[in-house]
Amino acid sequence: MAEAIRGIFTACDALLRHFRRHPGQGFFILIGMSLGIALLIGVTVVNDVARQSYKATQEALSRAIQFKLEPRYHRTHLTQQHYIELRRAGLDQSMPVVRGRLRLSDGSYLRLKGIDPMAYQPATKNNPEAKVQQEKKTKPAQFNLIKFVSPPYQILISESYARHKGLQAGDGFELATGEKLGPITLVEDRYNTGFAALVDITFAQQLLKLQQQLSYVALFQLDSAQQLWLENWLKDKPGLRLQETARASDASQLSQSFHLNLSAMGMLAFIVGLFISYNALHFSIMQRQLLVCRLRASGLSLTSIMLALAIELILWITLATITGTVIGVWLAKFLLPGVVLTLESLFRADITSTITFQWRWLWQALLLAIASGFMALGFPLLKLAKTPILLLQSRQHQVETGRGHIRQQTLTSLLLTFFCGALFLIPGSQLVSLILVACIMLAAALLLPGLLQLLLATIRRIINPQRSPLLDWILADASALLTRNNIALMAFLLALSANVGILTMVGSFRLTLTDYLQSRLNADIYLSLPSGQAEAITSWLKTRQDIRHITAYQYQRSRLNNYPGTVVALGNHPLNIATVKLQSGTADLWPAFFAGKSVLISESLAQKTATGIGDQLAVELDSRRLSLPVSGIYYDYGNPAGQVLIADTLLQRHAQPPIRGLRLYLHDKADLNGLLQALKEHFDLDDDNAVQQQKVFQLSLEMFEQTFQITYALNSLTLLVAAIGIFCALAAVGFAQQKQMATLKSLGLSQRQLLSSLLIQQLILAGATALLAIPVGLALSWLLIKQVNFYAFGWTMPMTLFYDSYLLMWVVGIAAIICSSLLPLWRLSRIPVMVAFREAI
Amino acid sequence: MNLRLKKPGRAIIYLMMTLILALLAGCEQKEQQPTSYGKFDPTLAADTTTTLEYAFKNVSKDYRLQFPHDHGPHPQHHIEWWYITANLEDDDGEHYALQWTQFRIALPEQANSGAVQLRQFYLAHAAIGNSQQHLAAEKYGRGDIGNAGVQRAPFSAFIDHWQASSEQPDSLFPMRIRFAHSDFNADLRLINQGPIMLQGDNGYSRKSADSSNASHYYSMPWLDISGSIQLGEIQAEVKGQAWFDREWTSSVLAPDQQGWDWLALHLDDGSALMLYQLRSATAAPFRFAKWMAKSGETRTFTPQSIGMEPLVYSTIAGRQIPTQWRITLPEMGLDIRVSPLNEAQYMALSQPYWEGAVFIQGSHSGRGFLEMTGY
Repeated sequence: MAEAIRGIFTACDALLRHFRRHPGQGFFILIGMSLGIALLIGVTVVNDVARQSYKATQEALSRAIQFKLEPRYHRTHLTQQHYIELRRAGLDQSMPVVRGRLRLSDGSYLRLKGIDPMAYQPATKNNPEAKVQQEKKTKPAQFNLIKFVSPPYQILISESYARHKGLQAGDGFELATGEKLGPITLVEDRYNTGFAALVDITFAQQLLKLQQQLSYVALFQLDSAQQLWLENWLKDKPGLRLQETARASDASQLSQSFHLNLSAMGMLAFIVGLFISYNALHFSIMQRQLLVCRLRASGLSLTSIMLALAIELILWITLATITGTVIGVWLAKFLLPGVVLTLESLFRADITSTITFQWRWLWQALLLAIASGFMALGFPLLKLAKTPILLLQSRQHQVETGRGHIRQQTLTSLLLTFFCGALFLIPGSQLVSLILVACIMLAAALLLPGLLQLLLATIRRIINPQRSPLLDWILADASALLTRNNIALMAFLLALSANVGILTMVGSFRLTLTDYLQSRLNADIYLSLPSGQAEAITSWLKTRQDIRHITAYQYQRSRLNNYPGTVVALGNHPLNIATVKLQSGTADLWPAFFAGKSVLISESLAQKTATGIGDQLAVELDSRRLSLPVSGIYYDYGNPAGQVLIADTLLQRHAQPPIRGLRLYLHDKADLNGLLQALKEHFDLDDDNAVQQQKVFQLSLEMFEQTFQITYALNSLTLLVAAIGIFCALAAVGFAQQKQMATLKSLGLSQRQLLSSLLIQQLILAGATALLAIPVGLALSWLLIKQVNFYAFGWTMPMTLFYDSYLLMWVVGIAAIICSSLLPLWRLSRIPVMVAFREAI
Repeated sequence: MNLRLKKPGRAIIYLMMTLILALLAGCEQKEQQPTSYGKFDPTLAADTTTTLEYAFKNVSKDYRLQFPHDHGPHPQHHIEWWYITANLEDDDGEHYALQWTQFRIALPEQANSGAVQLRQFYLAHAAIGNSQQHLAAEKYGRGDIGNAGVQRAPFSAFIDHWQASSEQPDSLFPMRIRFAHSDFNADLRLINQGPIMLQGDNGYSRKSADSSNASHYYSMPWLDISGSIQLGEIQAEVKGQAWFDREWTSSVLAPDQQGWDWLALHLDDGSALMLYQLRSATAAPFRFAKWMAKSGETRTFTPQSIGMEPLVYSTIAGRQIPTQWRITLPEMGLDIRVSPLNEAQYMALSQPYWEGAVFIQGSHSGRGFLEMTGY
């Protein structure tokens, strides 16, 4: 027994000494595994945090709202008097909230949320100590009630929002009006002050010019009698409605698609990560085959060596899990503000950017580490155990087994391709499309080494070995090298393909959207109106000579075939009809449409409710339920929610939604800016209310870009990690190549010749890998556009190719590989002959 | 010794409010102190006293209280309260205790224009109890939001749905008082059966020997009260006797006392007795007693002749609180034992204290209210 332990100890000692002599390799394992884990954990954390915030409370000081009393119409408010009536009637478990945006002097906006901190006292049983404890938990230490509720007012900003706005504790900021505010008080994210500056309600009302007005009232713990009272009270208040929080978070349903996209990216990151960690561990074992042979030859039992390796593996897994999780959470912290903004602007979801550490993440990281660990060690260990000692020492043998692996990989790849083909035959869905993405990526990656070997062999056959023996050696050695660094190349292929794929998808999307917006936004000026102002403005506009046409914008929130969405009115005028970009429709659909006998539905509604042309659509309008045939489907990019177009006369017959906005079409020679100015002055409209077409256009595109910010970020990061993988792989391979280098040098090759030979090798491998990444990337983008996005958002679009970008990608790919291989190869070529021989023997 | 100190029961609330104010206003010096609202720490009292006093109207010895005007709010004064305690009984003879108080606190603030203006804050306490249970709650409100306030005519003091309001525009009583919490509520009507008793010197009540601190103060001890209450599962029609107290001031006490024991008693002969002691850490307790008849006749007693002796201590919320007392006033032949309706009449609020209904037996009989703080 004691001897066995001593044996394990000796083996451990010997194995670990290897890293003392080659600390770079230890670093390689650690960084490879950690980065793989970090990518997965980063995406997981971002997804989790967003999902948690849907579920968790969305209120200022983290408590569950049951109901929201809110204005029925967007951009309208409820009066403070309404709130007081509620309180006086005993609905004191409530919180008034006013929110809006403040324009700052630098042109950006500060989101503002006003609350009354005295409004809600959480009920505690007769225990003052518990109450104090609870207060401490829910209220940040920086919060000071009186400073908060009285001038100059405390402005609380969460650390992450401050970071996003580039503010620090004690900073002030200047409004576009020149008024200076601040200093701000930073509070930790965990207090859920949200992605907005939190201030006293009176102050917020002043700043937002919403005196005596509220955005909504959050109601907690309503009992049934109170609910009944509230329903009665609401009867004569058509402008208000009670929204259950479960319903208020329809946003969480809608944003599923966003998370799906994110999950797809996460999965990609996972695969790349798995490859890299596998690569790292696998290398460390292959590197030490010789050492293992010697240990075995010197009499250590195989079991001792295996156990020692297992102990080492546990060590690496533990270390990498910890560092990987730490980096992953840090990464998420970095990415989160962007995600929060996207979700807020796209889906109006209230998100907190608080990261509360969850053990689940650590387990997940551990799982990844263990999976790659066993994959990486399992085969080599088996082989070590089976192979005769002497055979193990031969490099030739290593190359041979490596070639065997490559054959297996190619076979697996072909099997996966068949599987993909089979998947196409079954009906599509989100899940199937994701599995397709995974399979195709994996298949492409596994095919890579085989393809590269084929390429190298073909070149060797074409050139004459006699005429250029060095080139022949370069190619032969590259083929041998491939058995060792193929995994790193695979990871790199995946990362680069993902970049090509995302580039194509986003590019196609952008072109489609631009085209779509140009036809959709055909008016010159867009007015969004405070309630009740429409009539006055319309009659004022009618007196002017420069207006060609005015279209009123009316919509009503509703349920469409039981799916949440909006009903939008369309007027019978060529200018209005021109804004509808039909994807498909029955012939001559307009007469029936304007007669109120059919409706048009958005593409995403069609997909989500599986409604097609000719089907009936159930539309809830106030208390009535209409059922009308669908005569056409139109594109509605950028809007993941369901939408239906109906004739304006039909909407007005069944519901009386207010006019939310006006679209103004001007005569050719009209003075657009003059009109805007006059409008703003006459009706006290601000820049947000009266906007030129150009600005709406820009805003839409900006929002679009924002949606894909995180995709870009993750993508570049994956590429970076893959490049680091290449660097590490080559650094490790170099060790094994020392002997060959020495041989070549002693044959009379100069260092420069040697280095350029090695670089040529890399160039061939990199060029071919990066080239392959383009078709793989295109396949990926095809899947993303036609499958993933279609099932997620319900949008279809043509796929556009960007040849110059692909060329650029190819060059960037090669450059990345060359750059990451430069240092290890240079070091390799520089080693003195004697040292190299000594090391290698 | 003729010190006209205010009733300490009110004084503790007074001090408490002062401290809340001090916490609120004196936060510059208290940066490191997390000011959860209403948190009470006696050690903070000394250095956070009168920083804002200048902004307020001061009480004056020459001021003659006028009614119904002075029932209404005095927003230029720093703090003010309306206070009702009642001993109730239902048809089955079950006894109940009830308390309702609304405080008004004005805080000066610098408006954007630079001018100093006052903002009104409100705090209310309510409690109902019987021999089995005692439920209490508190509520905050702000004048600028509009869900809390005090209105002069017709009188109304309210925070949300907790409110006391006159039924007539020119008279404080009859008054209806309503409040509701998750597990208790009350809807009661009060009718006044006696005179308004001005405390101190015609309603000018000194708080210290050098008269640097004072308040305007009056009481209405003879109120009939009736209506309905709910206490947990119990729903009851009740009637009984109530006591109304009013006070407003802009000055602040310097508290060296440990706490107060205060009694407001309705004697069975129709007269009323109020007495208290201030417990000091360093000296013997300071005592004061006043007897009042419906005719308006009053009697005061020398502090040395007032006997207040704890008989039984109860452990409530981890504190030792004397819930039974022996009270002696030899000058009027009074020797009574005071025992509580329920020894656990504890106000477990942001600032906890003991306040509840008591019965008296001995040379005199009757019932009333006892308030004890600082234990």
